[in-house]
This record gives sequence, structure tokens and C-alpha cells, in this order.
Amino acid sequence: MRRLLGALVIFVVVIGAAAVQWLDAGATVLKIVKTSSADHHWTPDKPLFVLLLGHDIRPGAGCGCTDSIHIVGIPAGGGQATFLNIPRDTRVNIPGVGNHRINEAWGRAKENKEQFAAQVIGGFVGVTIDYTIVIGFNDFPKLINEIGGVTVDVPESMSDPNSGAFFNKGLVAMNGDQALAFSRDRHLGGGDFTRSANQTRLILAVLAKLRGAGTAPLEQLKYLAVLARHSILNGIGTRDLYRLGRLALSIDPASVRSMTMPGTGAVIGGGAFVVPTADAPGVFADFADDAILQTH
Amino acid sequence: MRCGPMRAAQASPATASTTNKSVTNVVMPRQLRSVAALVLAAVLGACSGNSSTSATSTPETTAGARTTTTTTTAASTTTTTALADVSTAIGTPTIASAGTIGPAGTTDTLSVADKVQFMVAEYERLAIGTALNGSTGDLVGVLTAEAAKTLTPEQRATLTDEATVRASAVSAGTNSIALTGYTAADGGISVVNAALSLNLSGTTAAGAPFTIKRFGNLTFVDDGDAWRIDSFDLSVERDLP
Repeated sequence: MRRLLGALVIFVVVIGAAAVQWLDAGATVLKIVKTSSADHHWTPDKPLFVLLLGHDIRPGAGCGCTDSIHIVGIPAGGGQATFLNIPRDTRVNIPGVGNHRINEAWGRAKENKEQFAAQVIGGFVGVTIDYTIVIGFNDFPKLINEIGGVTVDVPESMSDPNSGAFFNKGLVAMNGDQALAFSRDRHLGGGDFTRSANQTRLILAVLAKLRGAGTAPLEQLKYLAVLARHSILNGIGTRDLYRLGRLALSIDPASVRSMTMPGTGAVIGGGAFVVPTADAPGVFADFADDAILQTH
Repeated sequence: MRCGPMRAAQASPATASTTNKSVTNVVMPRQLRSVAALVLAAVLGACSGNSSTSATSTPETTAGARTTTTTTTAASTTTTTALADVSTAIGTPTIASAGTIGPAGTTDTLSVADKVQFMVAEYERLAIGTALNGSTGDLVGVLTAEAAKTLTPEQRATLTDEATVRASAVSAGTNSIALTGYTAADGGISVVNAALSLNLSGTTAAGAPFTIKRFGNLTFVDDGDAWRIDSFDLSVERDLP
């Protein structure tokens, strides 16, 4: 079962993506949408919350599910970030639909998919999602290839024919297809929880690569050009895109905290779900106030 | 990616860029004409100040050492008057080069370049010239609201020369900017980077020489009524007495 997607480079990309040759590629691989209300404007002196979604749609397959779900919180001033990883099977109430898996929120919307998903997922955690970034299953490998691949610190060996992930533990140089396989493998100890954490690991590897390529102002402008050329922007201008990119590049991957929502498996009404454990609300509140997990 | 000229490089020499020279070598846009007028007025005002100070101090000198108080007042007046020239002596930066990144632009690039050039001059006047006069410049009109809100004391110490030295004279050996504009998908320019090179030398009121070299990047965004600094990556080297 292939769903999944990896995720997001996105943010990073948001940030600044990549190699200059990508400028000539021409493909649109990202959608960046302002998902907070019209009267809610993020400024650098406030924490920023960005929802990263990777969907599984591709020719002849996919259910429109976002199997990669991460809320990135960047505190005021930037420089660090917290990734809150949400398991795809988390049971939530989707307005107009009922209690379903959280990965269905985006696909269930008939219009304004990003706003709808941001409201459902942001509401579940208790944060206002300023921007939502979406990348598709087939686009993810392209993105990785365009930046020349990425080196990932694989936490445990993988051997999964379902996803195609065959990696030894340790630093592994990956191309786009390998990165996608790494982000999809859930046949690990911890299952989807571990997979979600690995997706964040991959995103941070991309961020590290971009930062290594340069963060000077002119490079940021080039990244902006790359990003804007390959993105569909909705409700966000290039000035804010530039600010987001600059903010993202300010994040030191070593200062990023990644935490997966505390949850446990449950069968409800015949369906397999993940439900938050008793300590999840405390984590959400700790995260929501300033995008930093002080007590967790 | 298409790169094209944002504005033809101006032929102003990289050295000895004084206010008068900049005005002479550049086809002045409206803003600069205004600036030039202001600069001219300031220069004239400063000159008037000098004259007036001389005139003021003359009677005191003539009066001889009548009282210690009189002597002190004269010294103070002379110092203040001389410092009034510092801001204008820095001049207007010349545009060493300009180009764009992104799709072919539709914006009036000359206009954008002029506006950014104008604001760099304003930045230099307020953050550097005024500081060297011993005062604190109000940067509100130069920075975006977001940048002003998040400016740390350390950043301000790089951006400005506040509390460093009080100058009686300053000259700009180099004052140039290289502009790179980003054109969005609609062809408009929304972000401009100005690579700044500003080398100042001068003397303090006590006659001691000093130099201040400032180089790096000021990134401007279209802030509605003006182009303002949204971020910067500057280095400053000060050789002070």
C-alpha cells in the first residue's frame, strides 16, 4: 500500500529550494496557501505555524489522502523549530463528514482543500495554521533529484519490499526515489509513528543541504525565484514568501525538536485508528503557546 | 531564469563620491531632485550656520577672556556647527550595477532602482550621518514595521554608528550599491537586494582621524508607500581613536 508520501521538503523548499538548474525544469510541484483568516497576519515577532502535507495522488492510484502530516512551529525570531508529527490514522471529527482518519481531511473537501485541512488539523492541535504547503507523491522525488539528492542519517536498517526501502543504518546518500521509499516505510518498530518521525528527519536533511549551499541574501533571492516558479501561490505574495524562505533558512537543523503526537492504536466501529493518549493535550498546549516544547 | 538590466550602471566614479558629484553625474529622478534640493538646502543651511557661528564667536573672541563661561560657550557652539555637515558629506550612493532574477519584468525598473537608491541614502543619513553627529536617527521610515519590531541592540549596533564617535568632518571614499531585483511571476519586482559598500573617513572634534567601513547586503521590499529595509546582512569595521 502505497500511500504515503514523503513529505515535505516543502518547507524547506519553501524556503528555498535548490539548485539553480531547477529553474529550467518548469514543473509545478508545490502549493503554498495562506490558510489563516484574512485578518490574521503573521509577523516575525510572533510564532509561525506551517502545515506540511504530502498527498498520495498519482496516475491510477491514491485516495487523496495526506499520509504525511506535520505542523512546523517556528518561534518568534526564528533560528529553531518544532515539528509536531501527526500519525495519519489519527481519529478526528471532520466537519460534515464525521469521525474519520485525519489524513482524509484534505481530500474530503470539495473546495478550498488547504483551508479545510488547516482548520481540521489546526483545530485538533489548537493552533492557527498560518500557511499550508502541499506536495504530491510524484513530485516529491523530482524535488529531491533537483537539489542533487540528499544525505539522510538512517536511524535503523530498513528492508521493506512494500516501500522499496533497503538501507543500512547510518548516513545514506539518497536520490529522489530512495528518499520517497525511506519516507514511506512503516514496517518498522513503532510503525506509522516511526515513519512520521523519519519524514521529519528527511525534511531536515533537505534543509541542511540548502543551508550548506548558502544562505546569503542573493542566494535567498535565487531560492525565491526557484520556489515561486515551481509553486502555486494562493493568498501569499512574493514578499511574504521571501520572508518565509528567509525564516526557514534561519533554522539550524540541530536546533529542531521533532515530536510525534502521543497516541495509541484503537479499533473503533470496525476501523483502525490512532487516538491521542492522555498526555497529548499537554503536548499540544505546550506547543501552541510559543511553538516551543518547554515541558515535553 | 532570465537576467536583464534593471538599470544601466551609473558612471559615477567609485571614489570621492560627494553629494555634488552624484548630482552632477546622474540623470536625477524626481525623488533625487527632491533629495538634491534638500541636500543643497542643508548644505546652505550648514554654511549659514558656520557663518553665523563665526559671527557669534567673533564677538566673544573680540570680547576677550571676559569670563570662563563665554569661552566654554564658544567652544561648544563651534563644535555643534561643524557637526552639522556630517550627514550631507556622506552623499548619495551610486548604483554600481543592477539586474534582476526571475521572469521578464514589467515593472518600471528605473523607478524601483531610484526608490531603493533614495532609501539607501536615507538609511545612511539617519543611521550613520546622524549618529556621527552624536544623535540617534529615527529608523522607522527606513525599516519595515516587521524589521523595526525585531531589531536587536546588537543588530542596531551594526546597522548604525550610534555611540561610536562624534565627527567634525567626514568624507565617503566609496559609497556604492549593486542592486538585484527579484521579479515575480506577474513580472513585478517585489524584493530588491542592495549590496552596499561604504567607506567613510573623518576626524573627530578633537582632530583624531577615524575610518568606518560598512559592507554587506540590505534587502528591500515594496512596503506600499516606499521601499524599506526588511532584512540586512552587514559587516562593519571601525578604526576609531
